[in-house]
Amino acid sequence: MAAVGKTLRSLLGEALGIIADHDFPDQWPTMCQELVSKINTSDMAVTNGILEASSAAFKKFDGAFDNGAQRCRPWPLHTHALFALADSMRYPLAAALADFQEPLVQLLELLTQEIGAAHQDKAALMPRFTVSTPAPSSFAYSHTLSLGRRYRMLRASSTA
Amino acid sequence: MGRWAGVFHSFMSYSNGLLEDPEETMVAGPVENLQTQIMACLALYGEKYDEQFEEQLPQFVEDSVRLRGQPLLTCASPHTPLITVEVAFSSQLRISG
Repeated sequence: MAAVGKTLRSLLGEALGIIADHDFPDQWPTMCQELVSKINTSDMAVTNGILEASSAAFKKFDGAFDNGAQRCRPWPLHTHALFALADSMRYPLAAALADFQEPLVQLLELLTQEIGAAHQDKAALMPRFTVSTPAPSSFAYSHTLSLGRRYRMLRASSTA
Repeated sequence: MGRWAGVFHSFMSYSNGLLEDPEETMVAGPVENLQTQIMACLALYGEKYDEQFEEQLPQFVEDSVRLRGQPLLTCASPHTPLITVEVAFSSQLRISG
Protein backbone atom coordinates (compact mmCIF):
# COMPACT_ATOMS: atom_id res chain seq x y z
CA MET A 1 0.00 0.00 0.00
CA ALA A 2 2.73 2.41 0.96
CA ALA A 3 4.48 2.03 -2.39
CA VAL A 4 1.57 2.96 -4.72
CA GLY A 5 0.74 6.38 -6.17
CA LYS A 6 -0.63 9.28 -4.17
CA THR A 7 -4.28 9.03 -5.29
CA LEU A 8 -4.53 5.30 -4.72
CA ARG A 9 -2.64 5.66 -1.43
CA SER A 10 -5.18 8.19 -0.23
CA LEU A 11 -8.05 5.80 -1.01
CA LEU A 12 -6.25 2.91 0.65
CA GLY A 13 -5.63 5.10 3.69
CA GLU A 14 -9.36 5.74 3.97
CA ALA A 15 -9.99 2.00 3.63
CA LEU A 16 -7.48 1.33 6.39
CA GLY A 17 -9.29 3.86 8.55
CA ILE A 18 -12.62 2.06 8.06
CA ILE A 19 -11.03 -1.30 8.85
CA ALA A 20 -9.33 0.17 11.93
CA ASP A 21 -12.64 1.66 13.03
CA HIS A 22 -14.09 -1.87 13.19
CA ASP A 23 -11.12 -4.07 14.07
CA PHE A 24 -8.66 -1.97 16.06
CA PRO A 25 -7.66 -2.73 18.76
CA ASP A 26 -9.63 -5.89 19.57
CA GLN A 27 -9.37 -7.78 16.29
CA TRP A 28 -6.17 -6.12 15.08
CA PRO A 29 -4.09 -5.31 18.18
CA THR A 30 -0.81 -5.12 16.26
CA MET A 31 -1.91 -2.43 13.79
CA CYS A 32 0.32 0.29 15.27
CA GLN A 33 3.36 -1.99 15.47
CA GLU A 34 2.82 -3.08 11.87
CA LEU A 35 2.59 0.53 10.68
CA VAL A 36 5.67 1.55 12.67
CA SER A 37 7.68 -1.37 11.30
CA LYS A 38 7.28 0.08 7.78
CA ILE A 39 8.63 3.52 8.68
CA ASN A 40 11.97 3.80 6.99
CA THR A 41 13.78 7.07 6.43
CA SER A 42 15.70 5.64 3.47
CA ASP A 43 12.40 5.24 1.59
CA MET A 44 10.49 8.48 1.92
CA ALA A 45 7.58 7.40 -0.33
CA VAL A 46 6.80 4.39 1.85
CA THR A 47 7.09 6.41 5.05
CA ASN A 48 4.84 9.09 3.59
CA GLY A 49 2.27 6.42 2.72
CA ILE A 50 2.37 5.02 6.25
CA LEU A 51 1.86 8.41 7.82
CA GLU A 52 -1.03 9.33 5.51
CA ALA A 53 -2.72 5.99 6.12
CA SER A 54 -2.25 6.14 9.90
CA SER A 55 -3.59 9.68 9.99
CA ALA A 56 -6.75 8.54 8.18
CA ALA A 57 -7.07 5.55 10.50
CA PHE A 58 -6.61 7.45 13.76
CA LYS A 59 -8.91 10.24 12.68
CA LYS A 60 -11.79 7.75 12.81
CA PHE A 61 -11.44 7.63 16.60
CA ASP A 62 -11.44 11.38 17.17
CA GLY A 63 -14.39 12.21 19.38
CA ALA A 64 -15.70 8.65 19.26
CA PHE A 65 -15.83 8.40 23.02
CA ASP A 66 -16.54 12.01 23.82
CA ASN A 67 -19.89 11.64 22.09
CA GLY A 68 -20.59 8.07 23.19
CA ALA A 69 -23.51 8.92 25.40
CA GLN A 70 -25.04 11.14 22.72
CA ARG A 71 -24.75 8.54 19.98
CA CYS A 72 -26.17 5.80 22.17
CA ARG A 73 -29.04 7.85 23.53
CA PRO A 74 -31.81 5.56 22.17
CA TRP A 75 -30.30 2.62 24.05
CA PRO A 76 -31.96 1.82 27.38
CA LEU A 77 -28.63 1.88 29.18
CA HIS A 78 -27.82 3.94 32.22
CA THR A 79 -25.39 6.76 31.41
CA HIS A 80 -22.85 5.44 33.92
CA ALA A 81 -22.68 2.16 32.04
CA LEU A 82 -21.87 4.02 28.82
CA PHE A 83 -19.06 5.94 30.49
CA ALA A 84 -17.71 2.69 31.94
CA LEU A 85 -17.82 1.19 28.44
CA ALA A 86 -15.94 4.18 27.00
CA ASP A 87 -13.44 3.88 29.86
CA SER A 88 -12.76 0.23 29.13
CA MET A 89 -12.28 0.86 25.40
CA ARG A 90 -10.28 4.06 25.57
CA TYR A 91 -7.25 2.90 27.47
CA PRO A 92 -6.40 -0.18 25.37
CA LEU A 93 -6.49 2.16 22.37
CA ALA A 94 -4.32 4.74 24.09
CA ALA A 95 -1.78 2.08 25.07
CA ALA A 96 -1.63 0.75 21.51
CA LEU A 97 -1.19 4.22 20.05
CA ALA A 98 1.62 4.96 22.48
CA ASP A 99 3.57 2.35 20.47
CA PHE A 100 3.15 4.62 17.47
CA GLN A 101 3.89 7.98 19.06
CA GLU A 102 7.47 7.38 20.18
CA PRO A 103 8.78 6.16 16.78
CA LEU A 104 6.95 9.03 15.10
CA VAL A 105 8.61 11.62 17.32
CA GLN A 106 11.97 9.96 16.66
CA LEU A 107 11.29 10.14 12.91
CA LEU A 108 10.40 13.84 13.13
CA GLU A 109 13.50 14.60 15.21
CA LEU A 110 15.66 12.81 12.65
CA LEU A 111 14.01 14.66 9.76
CA THR A 112 14.55 17.96 11.57
CA GLN A 113 18.26 17.21 11.86
CA GLU A 114 18.49 16.15 8.21
CA ILE A 115 16.64 19.26 7.05
CA GLY A 116 19.03 21.40 9.08
CA ALA A 117 22.02 19.65 7.52
CA ALA A 118 20.64 19.93 3.97
CA HIS A 119 19.80 23.63 4.14
CA GLN A 120 21.34 24.36 0.72
CA ASP A 121 20.30 21.12 -0.99
CA LYS A 122 16.82 21.49 -2.50
CA ALA A 123 16.80 17.93 -3.85
CA ALA A 124 17.30 16.59 -0.33
CA LEU A 125 14.92 19.02 1.33
CA MET A 126 11.85 18.45 -0.84
CA PRO A 127 11.19 14.77 0.01
CA ARG A 128 11.85 15.44 3.69
CA PHE A 129 9.19 18.12 3.81
CA THR A 130 6.81 15.96 1.80
CA VAL A 131 7.19 13.04 4.19
CA SER A 132 6.87 15.32 7.21
CA THR A 133 3.59 16.88 6.04
CA PRO A 134 1.14 14.12 7.16
CA ALA A 135 3.08 13.56 10.41
CA PRO A 136 1.45 16.31 12.53
CA SER A 137 -2.04 15.06 11.71
CA SER A 138 -1.05 11.47 12.37
CA PHE A 139 0.54 12.43 15.67
CA ALA A 140 -2.28 14.67 16.82
CA TYR A 141 -4.98 12.11 16.16
CA SER A 142 -2.92 9.43 17.90
CA HIS A 143 -3.08 11.72 20.94
CA THR A 144 -6.82 12.10 20.86
CA LEU A 145 -7.25 8.91 22.85
CA SER A 146 -4.67 9.58 25.52
CA LEU A 147 -5.62 13.13 26.40
CA GLY A 148 -8.87 14.95 26.86
CA ARG A 149 -10.53 17.46 29.08
CA ARG A 150 -13.94 16.33 27.92
CA TYR A 151 -13.16 12.78 28.87
CA ARG A 152 -12.23 13.80 32.43
CA MET A 153 -15.41 15.87 32.62
CA LEU A 154 -17.41 12.83 31.52
CA ARG A 155 -15.74 10.71 34.19
CA ALA A 156 -16.32 13.33 36.85
CA SER A 157 -19.99 13.60 35.94
CA SER A 158 -20.37 9.82 35.84
CA THR A 159 -19.00 9.40 39.37
CA ALA A 160 -20.80 12.38 40.89
CA MET B 1 4.52 16.70 24.98
CA GLY B 2 7.70 18.75 25.12
CA ARG B 3 9.53 16.72 22.47
CA TRP B 4 6.90 16.95 19.74
CA ALA B 5 6.32 20.60 20.59
CA GLY B 6 10.03 21.31 20.05
CA VAL B 7 9.95 19.59 16.67
CA PHE B 8 6.78 21.37 15.58
CA HIS B 9 8.17 24.71 16.72
CA SER B 10 11.37 24.17 14.73
CA PHE B 11 9.27 23.49 11.61
CA MET B 12 7.10 26.53 12.28
CA SER B 13 10.25 28.66 12.55
CA TYR B 14 11.80 27.24 9.39
CA SER B 15 12.41 29.42 6.40
CA ASN B 16 14.45 28.70 3.29
CA GLY B 17 14.47 30.73 0.08
CA LEU B 18 15.30 27.59 -1.90
CA LEU B 19 11.81 26.24 -1.16
CA GLU B 20 9.90 29.45 -1.79
CA ASP B 21 8.67 30.78 -5.10
CA PRO B 22 7.32 34.34 -4.86
CA GLU B 23 5.93 34.01 -8.41
CA GLU B 24 3.79 31.01 -7.52
CA THR B 25 0.14 32.02 -7.14
CA MET B 26 -1.66 28.66 -7.24
CA VAL B 27 0.20 26.03 -5.23
CA ALA B 28 1.55 26.32 -1.69
CA GLY B 29 5.18 25.37 -1.12
CA PRO B 30 6.39 22.37 0.89
CA VAL B 31 7.21 24.41 4.00
CA GLU B 32 3.82 26.09 3.95
CA ASN B 33 2.04 22.76 3.48
CA LEU B 34 3.77 21.38 6.55
CA GLN B 35 3.13 24.52 8.58
CA THR B 36 -0.56 24.32 7.62
CA GLN B 37 -0.75 20.77 8.97
CA ILE B 38 1.03 21.75 12.17
CA MET B 39 -1.19 24.76 12.72
CA ALA B 40 -4.30 22.61 12.16
CA CYS B 41 -3.05 20.26 14.87
CA LEU B 42 -2.37 23.16 17.22
CA ALA B 43 -5.94 24.33 16.69
CA LEU B 44 -7.13 20.81 17.51
CA TYR B 45 -5.04 20.73 20.68
CA GLY B 46 -6.22 24.18 21.67
CA GLU B 47 -9.81 23.09 21.21
CA LYS B 48 -9.66 19.78 23.08
CA TYR B 49 -6.63 19.63 25.32
CA ASP B 50 -5.96 23.15 26.43
CA GLU B 51 -4.80 22.19 29.94
CA GLN B 52 -2.11 19.76 28.75
CA PHE B 53 -1.21 22.16 25.96
CA GLU B 54 -0.79 25.21 28.21
CA GLU B 55 2.94 24.80 28.81
CA GLN B 56 3.74 24.64 25.08
CA LEU B 57 1.34 27.39 24.09
CA PRO B 58 3.58 30.51 24.29
CA GLN B 59 6.05 29.33 21.63
CA PHE B 60 3.22 28.59 19.21
CA VAL B 61 1.55 31.91 19.87
CA GLU B 62 4.85 33.50 18.76
CA ASP B 63 4.77 31.34 15.61
CA SER B 64 1.19 32.38 14.94
CA VAL B 65 1.99 36.07 15.33
CA ARG B 66 5.06 35.74 13.10
CA LEU B 67 3.00 34.05 10.37
CA ARG B 68 0.56 36.96 10.37
CA GLY B 69 3.44 39.35 9.92
CA GLN B 70 4.79 37.66 6.81
CA PRO B 71 4.36 39.88 3.75
CA LEU B 72 3.98 36.84 1.48
CA LEU B 73 1.02 35.58 3.44
CA THR B 74 -1.97 37.21 1.82
CA CYS B 75 -5.58 36.12 1.60
CA ALA B 76 -4.98 34.99 -1.97
CA SER B 77 -4.52 31.36 -2.88
CA PRO B 78 -2.31 29.40 -2.15
CA HIS B 79 -2.01 30.84 1.35
CA THR B 80 -5.69 30.45 2.26
CA PRO B 81 -5.36 27.07 4.05
CA LEU B 82 -2.58 28.31 6.31
CA ILE B 83 -4.45 31.51 7.11
CA THR B 84 -7.61 29.55 7.83
CA VAL B 85 -5.98 27.23 10.37
CA GLU B 86 -4.05 30.09 11.93
CA VAL B 87 -7.33 31.93 12.52
CA ALA B 88 -8.83 28.75 13.99
CA PHE B 89 -5.86 28.46 16.35
CA SER B 90 -6.08 32.12 17.35
CA SER B 91 -9.80 31.84 18.04
CA GLN B 92 -9.07 29.00 20.47
CA LEU B 93 -6.66 31.30 22.32
CA ARG B 94 -9.40 33.85 22.84
CA ILE B 95 -11.79 31.20 24.14
CA SER B 96 -9.16 29.69 26.44
CA GLY B 97 -8.00 33.05 27.66
